[in-house]
Amino acid sequence: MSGNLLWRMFWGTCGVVACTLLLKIWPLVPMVISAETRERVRTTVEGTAAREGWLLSDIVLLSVSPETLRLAYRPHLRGPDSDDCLELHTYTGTLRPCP
Amino acid sequence: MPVVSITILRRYLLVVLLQCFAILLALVQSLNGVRTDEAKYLLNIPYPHPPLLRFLMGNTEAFPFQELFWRLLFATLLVQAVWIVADLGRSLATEKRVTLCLLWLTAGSLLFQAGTVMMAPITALQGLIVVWFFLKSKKLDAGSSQLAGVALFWLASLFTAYQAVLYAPVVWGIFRRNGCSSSRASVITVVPIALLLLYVAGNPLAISSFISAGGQNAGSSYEGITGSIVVAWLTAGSGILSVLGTYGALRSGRKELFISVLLLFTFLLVSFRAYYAVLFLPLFIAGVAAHPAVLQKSHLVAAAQLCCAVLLLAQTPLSIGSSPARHVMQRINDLPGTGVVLIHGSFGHEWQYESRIPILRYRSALLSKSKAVVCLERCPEVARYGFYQIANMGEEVWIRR
Repeated sequence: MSGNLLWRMFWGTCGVVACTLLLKIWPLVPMVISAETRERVRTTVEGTAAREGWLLSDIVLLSVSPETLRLAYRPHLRGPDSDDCLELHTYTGTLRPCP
Repeated sequence: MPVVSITILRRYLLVVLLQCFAILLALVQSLNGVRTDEAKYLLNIPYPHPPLLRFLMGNTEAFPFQELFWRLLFATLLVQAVWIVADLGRSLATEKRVTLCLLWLTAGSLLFQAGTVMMAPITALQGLIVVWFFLKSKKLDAGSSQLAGVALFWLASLFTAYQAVLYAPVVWGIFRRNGCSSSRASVITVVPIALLLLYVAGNPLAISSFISAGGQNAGSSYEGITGSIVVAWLTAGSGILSVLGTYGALRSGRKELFISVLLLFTFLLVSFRAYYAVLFLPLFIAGVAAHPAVLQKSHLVAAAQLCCAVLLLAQTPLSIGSSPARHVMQRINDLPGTGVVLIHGSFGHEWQYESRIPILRYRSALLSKSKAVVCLERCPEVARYGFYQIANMGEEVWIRR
């Protein structure tokens, strides 16, 4: 394979990875820029995990908005894992499936 | 009839012998069952490492012998990597070259870690490939396919495990020594690291895992941590390779190698784990290969290294007996009925690995949806909720009536 093609592949891969990660981070920006939001998210997620018996490692935060958090709950076990998308109200702690 | 030369036959025989050694190392590790960190990778639990390798591992969950498969694969890769080591010593006299290979194969970190399903041994292997490029690549054109391959490999290594970043000075050295300007070499080295930081920013769990890892060290005394690092450094190369490799890295004039060694020491000061010892291994080998004067009395070096490796093995008790997770969960998996498993007390991911049923942390409010309760700490109220205790399980296990 020519050097030029491989270099293009390297920079192309970097570009695709950067775009994918930015798309993933964008819905979490409120949490990244505000310490208060970050703290609220932390206490809400930890409180919900404790109440539901969830392991924190089974939760992936998808997006943060002023009143709700969207998260994926995936209880890991040997074999196929279920994957639920849930919306968590940050003030009431109510959980409901993503619309 | 084709004539097979003795040299080729000898090489095949060597491959087979090395493979037997790799199988032995993998089998020894499998005696302990799956550990919590291993389970984390085998189940593709999304922290702390980036996803490249754990995603592949998670996709083999359906394999009936998934654990053994990865143990064998990792042990094979680490042991057969001795051919890369042999190539590093191609310019040396046969005796010295054989000694260099022996130093790799008898290094404590290889003996103790080759059959573990951890990211550190794979990062060490990636480190060995990086130092091979560093020491062996001839003057290449800055736009050559080999350098682009190194850049892609660097990106892949970082997205396998964070610790690959410790080899960044060597990677920078590869580009710099092969005609890249200082700024171009820096950009190619740093852009993948920036992408890794972007990945971390989107994973709060990874961030909290780093903080927790650093916090565990903060609780230990400076003397305690320093002592542990010295032990890890000595164990990594079974003593002799550790000393010769570090001295070689210092005397070789290849400052990138020595900066990597220092980076690794610094990293261990902040976030010590005994299994990071294996990360020293490629740097030690590179140190010896770059400054072969340390192998002047190669017979003596080989004999001393063998003695140290044997002593190290003799001092380490063979640990047999898997965690209670396998025994308990096999029993619970076989039970009829539906519901989750509740576990009370601190537990690792190996419980999830052995389970076919979702596991939740114990709360009495969740007892109504549980099929079984495992009490690693006492949970006296379970008996009141229509559960009976199974005898002879080693742990307190309750099953719904």
